[in-house]
Amino acid sequence: MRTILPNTYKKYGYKMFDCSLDECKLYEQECYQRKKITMFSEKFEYTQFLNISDALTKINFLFIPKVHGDLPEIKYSLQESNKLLIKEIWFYNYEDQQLYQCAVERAWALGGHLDPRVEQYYYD
Amino acid sequence: MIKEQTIYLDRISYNIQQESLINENIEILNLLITDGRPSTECQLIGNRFEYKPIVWLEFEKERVAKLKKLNIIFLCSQPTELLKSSIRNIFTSLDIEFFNVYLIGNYSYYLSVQNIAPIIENTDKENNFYFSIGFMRLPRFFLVYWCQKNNVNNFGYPKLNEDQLSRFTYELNAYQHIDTTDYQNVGRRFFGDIDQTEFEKQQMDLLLKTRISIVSHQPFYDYLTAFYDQKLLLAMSCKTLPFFIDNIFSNEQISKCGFQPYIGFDYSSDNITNLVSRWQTLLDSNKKFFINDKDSKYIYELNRTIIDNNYKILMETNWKEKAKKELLLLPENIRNVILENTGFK
Repeated sequence: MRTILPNTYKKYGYKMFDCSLDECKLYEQECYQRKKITMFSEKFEYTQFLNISDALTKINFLFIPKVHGDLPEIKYSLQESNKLLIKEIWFYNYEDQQLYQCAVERAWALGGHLDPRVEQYYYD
Repeated sequence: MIKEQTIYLDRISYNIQQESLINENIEILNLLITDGRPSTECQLIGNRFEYKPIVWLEFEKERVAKLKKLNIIFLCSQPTELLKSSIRNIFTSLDIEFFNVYLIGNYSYYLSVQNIAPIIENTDKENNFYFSIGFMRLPRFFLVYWCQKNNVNNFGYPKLNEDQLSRFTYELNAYQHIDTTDYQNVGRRFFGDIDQTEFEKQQMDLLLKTRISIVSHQPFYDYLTAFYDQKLLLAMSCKTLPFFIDNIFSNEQISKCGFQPYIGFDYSSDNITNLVSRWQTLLDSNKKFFINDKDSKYIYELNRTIIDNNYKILMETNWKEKAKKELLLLPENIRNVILENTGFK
């Protein structure tokens, strides 16, 4: 029986902009060209997810290596009229935290840990 | 018939959910790299900055290991020993060759700066120090933070959104436990909301009045050196003295493009392995030149001949021809890979 380490608890939130990938890229390019701050939340509405499964499919978490994504115990919930996915994680080993974080960052390096339209929130 | 494939890494997206970018049964793979695009830049992974092409090669390890030959060709920079050994350590039995030139990938910047460079009648300078950041990157974030802490003024920088600010703060903290939460995210734009081309024209007046201008290119965190674009060239075209908070050995490496390295600044911190310590030491040890009129004038005068000479080289060189000469120094097969895949003629 594995034991969760309570002090490894982390909470993340995810919202997704309701636009196409092309619209998202175009807006980014326009801002880059004019050296303007991107303010996606002022430009686009947030997607309302049908349920947790729909949110997970759309948000599309990627990890490299994939197995490191399964290292923590994970609990998902939806808030704010199904527009905010909350992900809470706990680890069984302290070393797994670093492996998990590197798997996230390696996935970011190769095209993204999340769909590009997703906005991530940290709750430290 | 040998099966050969070329991938221009700047122009692709790594989509790890789709099939491999490397075709099956390829024997020779050529990788072309020019700039620091989303696929060819660096990223913090854990507490190390990693070069994305290496992360990708590692991801594609199985297919890469089956190759007979891997050629990696850099079109406007020089790979460091760190880059070479990082790749060789992954593929210990693979035949890997590195090639590089300095101008083929970016000679157009030289031409565009030649076109907008002002005619300089006198070089009387009013200001010690100037820089303006359009797009924030980690070394520039650190530079702005250092300037805020040291009351060094006369620089422009963008206001960051929450995501960007938390990313830079996180990266500095993850890399070296530096707390930058007191960073003043105000932003200062000298000419308001204008595009880059217009900004570069308007900026000329400010550069012309400045002795020392800070040059900070895309950071390659010790994987590449000798990477330059219009940031250096605009500074040269206005006869300012460039100070590099940049890729390793940037000052001495300008000789690779035909320029003379500047003298007088203390760049000994290039030998410090820890990047944040390096930037901190570099700025601290040269602070007097940014804030004291006397020191600023002294180092400018010390470099006056070099500044004039580099201006002349910038303005009088036929950069396209020089790039073509670089091409001739490469082996024929590599030359053909460049000609067939980049549009360079």
